[in-house]
Amino acid sequence: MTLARSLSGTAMKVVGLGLFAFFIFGPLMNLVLWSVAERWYTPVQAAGDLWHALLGGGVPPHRRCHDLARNECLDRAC
Amino acid sequence: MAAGFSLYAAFTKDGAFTLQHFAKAFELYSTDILFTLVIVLLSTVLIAAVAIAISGLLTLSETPWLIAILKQLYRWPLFIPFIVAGQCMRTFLAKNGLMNNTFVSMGILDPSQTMSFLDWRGIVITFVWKQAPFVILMLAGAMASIDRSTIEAARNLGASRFRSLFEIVLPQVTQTLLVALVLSFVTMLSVLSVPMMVAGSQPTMLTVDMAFRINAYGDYPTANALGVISYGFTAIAAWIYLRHNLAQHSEAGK
Repeated sequence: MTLARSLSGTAMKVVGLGLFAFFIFGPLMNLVLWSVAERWYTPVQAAGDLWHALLGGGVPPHRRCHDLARNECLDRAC
Repeated sequence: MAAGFSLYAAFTKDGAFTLQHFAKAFELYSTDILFTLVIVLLSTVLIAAVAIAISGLLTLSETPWLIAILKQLYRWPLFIPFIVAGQCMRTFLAKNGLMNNTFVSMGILDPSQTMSFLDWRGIVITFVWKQAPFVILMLAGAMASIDRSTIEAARNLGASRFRSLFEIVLPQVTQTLLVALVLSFVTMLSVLSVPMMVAGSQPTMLTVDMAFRINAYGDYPTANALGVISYGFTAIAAWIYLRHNLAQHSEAGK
């Protein structure tokens, strides 16, 4: 009983501290993220290009869209 | 001298005394005057609540790791200028901002339930975020310097931490809390960047109106009249502080 109460007390403190940290660092983290990200894709949780860079490169989503659009234009021209 | 000149310009037209500029300021911006007062007062109350809670935790908590982490966390916004804080909040509190995205990804909110806080709530949140650390810094310092034996005596006699905070600790640091809140009140009243960046819509704060009168119309007299109204608010805050200070001094002298 005492252990359970102690654990729940610690869990509440950790959650409270986490929320506090989120509201302190959230806006700052957001500013840093936006300053390095090219675009933000709203369904995606992280800024597109930065996310791709972190995952080890690949084609950024917007470039893929441009490529697809260009290919389609070329196909139609053919 | 600059304050004196703006005061003179607010009350005169072609060298003669007039209240015309004040009439114009009230006619055009009475809603904004009320809005400014409500926003700043609400922010001050919330800052006081947050500062008392965090300072109380720092002083009375018996969990060393919590105190150590909290001490490191709360100071960060102190070093951020208001304009950067405004920009941070603009993207953090937006409908598709980091806050809503985080809550959606955690399953706390559905995307359709998200809402933008870029209005009066955004201004209040930004002011609390930016100014609460300043008040906490002053209040926690004052709480740390009080005689701990009074707190320990209360705790030994069975007082809860909550009761010790409100009946033993807070009465000893009221002066410091009041100074910090008056300084925060005056600072928030003079911020232009936050209301401009966070909530562009009407109504807005007096600082934005003053900037608009000058930049759009070159209308310095009305801007000065709005400035004098702001002085009025700060004068009331200073009067409350001085009255409290004098009452405490006279009590101490008895």
